[in-house]
Amino acid sequence: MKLKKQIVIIGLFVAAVFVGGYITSCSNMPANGTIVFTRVPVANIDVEKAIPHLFKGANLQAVNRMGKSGEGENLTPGFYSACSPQVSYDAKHILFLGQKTETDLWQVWELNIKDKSTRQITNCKMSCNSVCYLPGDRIAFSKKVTDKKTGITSNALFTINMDGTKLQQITFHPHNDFISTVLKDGRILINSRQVYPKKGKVKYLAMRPNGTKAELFYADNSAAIYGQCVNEANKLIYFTEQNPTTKKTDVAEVSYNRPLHSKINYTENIQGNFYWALPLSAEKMIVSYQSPDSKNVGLWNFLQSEKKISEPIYNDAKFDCFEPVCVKPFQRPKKLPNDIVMAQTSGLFLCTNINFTETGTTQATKIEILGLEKSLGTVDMEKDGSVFLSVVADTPVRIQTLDNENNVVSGPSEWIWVRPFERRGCIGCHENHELVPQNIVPLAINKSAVIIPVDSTNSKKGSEITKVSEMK
Amino acid sequence: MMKKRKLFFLLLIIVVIVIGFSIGPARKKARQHVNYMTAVDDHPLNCLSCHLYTQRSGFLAKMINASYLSPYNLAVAPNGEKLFVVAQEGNALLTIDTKTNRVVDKIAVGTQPHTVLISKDGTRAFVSNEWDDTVYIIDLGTSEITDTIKTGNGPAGMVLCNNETTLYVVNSFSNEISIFDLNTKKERKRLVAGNNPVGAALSPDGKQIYISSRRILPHKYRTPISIEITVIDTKTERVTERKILNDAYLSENVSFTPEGDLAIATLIRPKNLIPSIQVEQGFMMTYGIAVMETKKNGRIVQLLTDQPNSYCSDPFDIVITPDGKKAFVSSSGADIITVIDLTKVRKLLAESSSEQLKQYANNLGVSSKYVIKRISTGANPKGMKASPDGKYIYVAERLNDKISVINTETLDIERTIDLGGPKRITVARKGRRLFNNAGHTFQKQYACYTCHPDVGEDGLVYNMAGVGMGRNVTNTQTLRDIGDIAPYKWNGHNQSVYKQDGMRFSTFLTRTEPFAYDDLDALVAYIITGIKNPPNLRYNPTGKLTDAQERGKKIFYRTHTNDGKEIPPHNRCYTCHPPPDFTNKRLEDVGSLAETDDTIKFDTPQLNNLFNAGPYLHDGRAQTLEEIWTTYDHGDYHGVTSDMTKDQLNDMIEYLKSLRDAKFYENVNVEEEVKKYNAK
Amino acid sequence: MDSLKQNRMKGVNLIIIVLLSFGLFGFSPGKRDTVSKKNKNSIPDTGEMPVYGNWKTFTKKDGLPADKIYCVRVDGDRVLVGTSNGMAVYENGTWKTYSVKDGLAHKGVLSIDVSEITGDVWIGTLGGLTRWSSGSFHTFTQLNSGLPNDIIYSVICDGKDVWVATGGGAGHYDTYSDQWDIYMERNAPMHEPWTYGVCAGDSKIFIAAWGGGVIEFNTKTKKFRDYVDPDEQMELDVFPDDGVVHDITTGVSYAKGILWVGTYFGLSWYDGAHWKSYFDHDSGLLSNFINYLKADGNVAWMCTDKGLSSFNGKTWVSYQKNETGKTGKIIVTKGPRIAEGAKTKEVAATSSICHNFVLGIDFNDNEIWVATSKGLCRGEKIK
Repeated sequence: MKLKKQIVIIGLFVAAVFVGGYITSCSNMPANGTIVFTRVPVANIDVEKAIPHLFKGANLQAVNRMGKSGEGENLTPGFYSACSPQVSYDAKHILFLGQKTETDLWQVWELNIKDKSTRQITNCKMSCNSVCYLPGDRIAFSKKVTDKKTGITSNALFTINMDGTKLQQITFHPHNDFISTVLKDGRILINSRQVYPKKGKVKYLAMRPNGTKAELFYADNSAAIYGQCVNEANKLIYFTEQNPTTKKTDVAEVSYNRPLHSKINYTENIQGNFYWALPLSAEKMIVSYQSPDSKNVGLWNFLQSEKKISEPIYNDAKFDCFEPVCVKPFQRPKKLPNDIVMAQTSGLFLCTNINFTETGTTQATKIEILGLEKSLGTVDMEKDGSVFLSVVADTPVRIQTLDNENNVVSGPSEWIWVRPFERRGCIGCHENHELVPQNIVPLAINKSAVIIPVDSTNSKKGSEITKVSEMK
Repeated sequence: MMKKRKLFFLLLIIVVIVIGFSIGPARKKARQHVNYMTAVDDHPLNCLSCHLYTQRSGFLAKMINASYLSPYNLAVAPNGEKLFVVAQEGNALLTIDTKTNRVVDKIAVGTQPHTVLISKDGTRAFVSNEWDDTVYIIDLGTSEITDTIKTGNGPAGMVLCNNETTLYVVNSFSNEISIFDLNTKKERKRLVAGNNPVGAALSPDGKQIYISSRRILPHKYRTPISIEITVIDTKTERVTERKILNDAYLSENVSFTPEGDLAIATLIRPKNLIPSIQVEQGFMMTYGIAVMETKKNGRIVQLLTDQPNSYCSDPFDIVITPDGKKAFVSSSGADIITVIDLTKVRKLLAESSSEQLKQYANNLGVSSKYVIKRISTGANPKGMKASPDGKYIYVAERLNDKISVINTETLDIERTIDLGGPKRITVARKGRRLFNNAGHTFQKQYACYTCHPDVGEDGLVYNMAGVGMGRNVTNTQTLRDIGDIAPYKWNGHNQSVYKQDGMRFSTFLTRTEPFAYDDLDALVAYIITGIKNPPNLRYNPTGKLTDAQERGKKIFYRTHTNDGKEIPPHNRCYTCHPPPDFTNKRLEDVGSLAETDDTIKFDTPQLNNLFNAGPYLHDGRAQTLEEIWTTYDHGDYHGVTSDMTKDQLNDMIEYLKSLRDAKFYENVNVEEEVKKYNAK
Repeated sequence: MDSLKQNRMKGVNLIIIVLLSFGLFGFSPGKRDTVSKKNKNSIPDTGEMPVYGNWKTFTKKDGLPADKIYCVRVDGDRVLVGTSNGMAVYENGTWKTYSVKDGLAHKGVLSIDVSEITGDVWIGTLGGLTRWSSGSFHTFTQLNSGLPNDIIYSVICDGKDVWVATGGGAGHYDTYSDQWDIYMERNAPMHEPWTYGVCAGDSKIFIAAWGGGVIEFNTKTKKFRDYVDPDEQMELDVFPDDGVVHDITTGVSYAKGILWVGTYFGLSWYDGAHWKSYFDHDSGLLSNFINYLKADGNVAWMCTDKGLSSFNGKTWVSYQKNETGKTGKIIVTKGPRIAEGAKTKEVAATSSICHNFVLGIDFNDNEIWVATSKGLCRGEKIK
């Protein structure tokens, strides 16, 4: 009896501690499952043109999903503008872009959900755009950069420590890059659009957070990806896209496992425009939606299985609602290891067969490496079509294949770059991105890599290395 | 009283140790020690990690470990009422009542049982004991072993044919198929199979047997690889065809469609010849099936089961439903069963050009044309069988000690049968699960198991591209019985398994987040404690050496050449390869440095059980033990052998092949051996 | 292992020189004893001895990879032919050649045998031993395996065991245990490691050892015994029937309890108790220079430098090509030896073996296949 009594007392004590702690901790913070979004005065924004989304005069609003429409709490009262909320993996902080005054540059800030305090993380000389938490103690964001030699202006991605130190650029091509999300596999999904030599279509690239192995993740020629709105849940990637003809924007989904060929458009049969999608479960999501007869974009519940808008969460005629996030701990993506060595000045690039293309085999004999300003040289392929290059790091290049008469056979390719000490491979030029390499030793690796830029315009091959296979 | 006192002192010591390591210089020392062993500075100061979980014998080892069942393969009674499960670790045949889902019988069988077959009348079971070189014939009425058949080395897959008068047994270690007359229980003949054959399937008409194999066929160094599917005519009992699966290995099992027009085998398509520069875009491993038309000159088409960002690692078994419409593939490293619509496969074969079919082998997207579902299972799904009515697929979850039952209509797991193994998951068991699961590589592209099947090695040579490309080509090393042979890695850079599987492992191999320290502890515990070599039944079953092996041993311990010249001590076999592990655990130069190697010296490998560990040398250039000295030792760098005659070399190699587990040599005194074998 | 490589090269050179000398430049056939030429067109009664005729020749023109044929082996419906340029297989009326690029150890194929158990074809070449199993080639060399030497003069299958006679000793390969044994002068009663032929029978292996007579290995007791020329004379057989005629033996074959031994100096026969010897000058044997011999039941076939002889202990039937044209002759000698009253009759034949330098032979019920230094020929049983 005595023992039982003691157990009961201890149990009550522990319960009291927990309940008390819960009450005090939750009293002034959004509850688990609270939706935080960017609330923008309607008059201030033309959503059709708002890429990137730096919403002047916006603030972060917290709203309980079950609350009445229009009832919310301003989480950024001290800011002239705040947008792009991103919840930390433990749901204790929110990262956002903000400007204290109208003339301030947009910087990355972090909000402590518990006490509503904010702290500035970046102190950039250009406004920051999209932002996200990375697994570990860094964040990624984008900002404008200008190439000193060419004057080409684009938006590049950067990473930085949470204390604002160790800023590092991670994308190096003449594209406007914005962060869409961090995939569960640890890569950053980038909303990327070429700006030079001509403006391209928006594509999603997946890239390791150290800026290596950037590769196409998703693109669709039949529709335009709209904004940087992406969320990943249950191995599905949700985003919005715009019909180039009707200009209607919809919510679409692709499978993480096969993004290039798995798109489903959820809202094409619903009138109105969808600007954002936040999946909450396999059946439900929250969408930023504007019906044809509405003047504002509200937050609405959406039933995926029925492909139907249900009740509003926040819909105030004076405001547009974008970028909803759910304050709830979620699975942290993998923290990918960093294999680059900043002391190195180049990276290695191997193409196993330059004549291997999506449409068939070509008859090229060499490749030309194009820089932003000029050709960086040509390199003869080996008999099996392989080339092995040592490319100056963090420098955008494009590759085109040539025949013996220097006619262009294929290309030029998309812009690519290698990070210091990065080793990277591809299996062909404009190859099907779902193909894997043939298991053979590429002849080019039996020689040393050809250094790019090539020291003259003459064709080059690497110098011979004696291999064990040749010794036998 | 004595006991109490002992207990008190034990507790006192523990308290002192805990306090000692919590504060002061002892803590600093401990920190330094842990940092050295783990090669990181933030591994928790947890003495248990290394000093408890890695215990291999004694009271503590027994206390912290447990004996699991590890269901591996299974069979269903002809009436579907009983399920017979081979418990690989439990060395037992379990009988399950499929109505009650309960284990109703447990029959002790040989060591490491592999496969079970049930006679058509349901009265007899045949169990191959892979580590005993036997097949047991069991009377299922009495649960007694009525006959023991001696097989070749490593009996694995089996087939009953000719009205169950003939038993075919695949000898997985000795690369043969033994044919037994079941009337006399005598072996009639052995046929040569592929390299490391395992799975066997009888065609529906009973005329042909297909045998899958795991390891690659002999090939020119650093050239494309292939494996063999051996085809046997049951009438002539001869091999009629050796189907070659190019660019593939580790084909574990094969199955026929009910029509018999197709045979489908599981396989892995490794990328070992390409520098391991990235995982993205299938640069390391892909997985799939080989669809073989059984007609004369039939096509062989390889199809992947993977997707562009998701891989179905380590396929093990394939089962085709009795209606021939669906195939189920157990992806043991991904914990999923991949369901393939065979009608769609046939359509694909019919509609595609030969060039397209060839390309499918390297196309991650094509699986969407025929894979209709991926069913998640418990840990490490291995063998499968369909119920006679085709309504269920039974799946052996090896590292879960359970059988999952898949409804072939709904394609969901309908129920799970608990085999009654230990409920707690020991640290080593957790490590074993991690080892076998691809979840710790980028996009789950490969598990530790993939390159270290059965915790050995896959026989492939990889270019890990640590620095450049095409440099430092290395031969996969076994992980069996390596607890005492640090350092690790061919360059000896890793002083512990902790470092081997730590941060650099994730940076250059798994290319995803490193193991959490708890997981790393578990993995290390498994590798250090849990892995035995199979017994060397082929070359040294009893420990008594043959005449040739004895002569070879004399050569191994020799101190003088044939013409009486003294061999410098550093160039004698036993100097670098002393028992019990036959390694001095140091870096040595045996003249094998290639132009493409960075280091000068290589870690001296252990020689235990090296008979099945080819290819040899750090870069796998020697396909056989003979080649080490006949082809790749120019100038007696790798011991003095140039004076030896061919028969002496043969004798020495026979001795090397006889080497068994280190435990058999723990009491060997090298000096005495040298004295004995060099006596006038 | 440099010494191994040197030995290998020496051996290769030697065999090439020997074979080229014998085959291309020829051992000029000497004059043989006069034989009766009565009744030219009728073949006398040969008793149980078969007689072959209607010869058809196969050369490069017919699809063979070379005209120099070292050996031939009938395997069911197909014929396996070892040539100086690969192995040719005759099946369904067509030839197919397998060479080094297909996986053969060496293009010079000296000996072929087929395992009765597995159907695997074992191919002895000038550069190693190849197992050809249902389309798959696997090669054993002295560098990659326990094979004693790469020059394989003879290979035979005896149950699960494979035996080879090589330039570096006799080799035994146990296909079950994957173990090689080498038998040479250090561990067997041989004078030197050079072995020319090997055969099996009644749990015994017989090895034709160059300079060492015949070595018998009892597979049950693992014991050796040797049979050497008792008179130790290189040029003379001083005492007839006292043992093997010469220590330089070139081939052995065992059937029905009889061991047949070929040498470059005559033929010997051993029934387990008694030896008998036959020479070209005292019997129906065409030449003392026997390249190869094969016994089938009661009949032994001797491949000599002057044609093909067959003998069943009572009657000799030999086949010889005329020096010009395609015609030849069948020479029947009734009685084992002239001293025992043997009578010889020579019958003209409109077809003949394709060359008199005969290197190999094999047959089935109705056909005989003969390997010569200038083509392969097939004869039909006519009697």
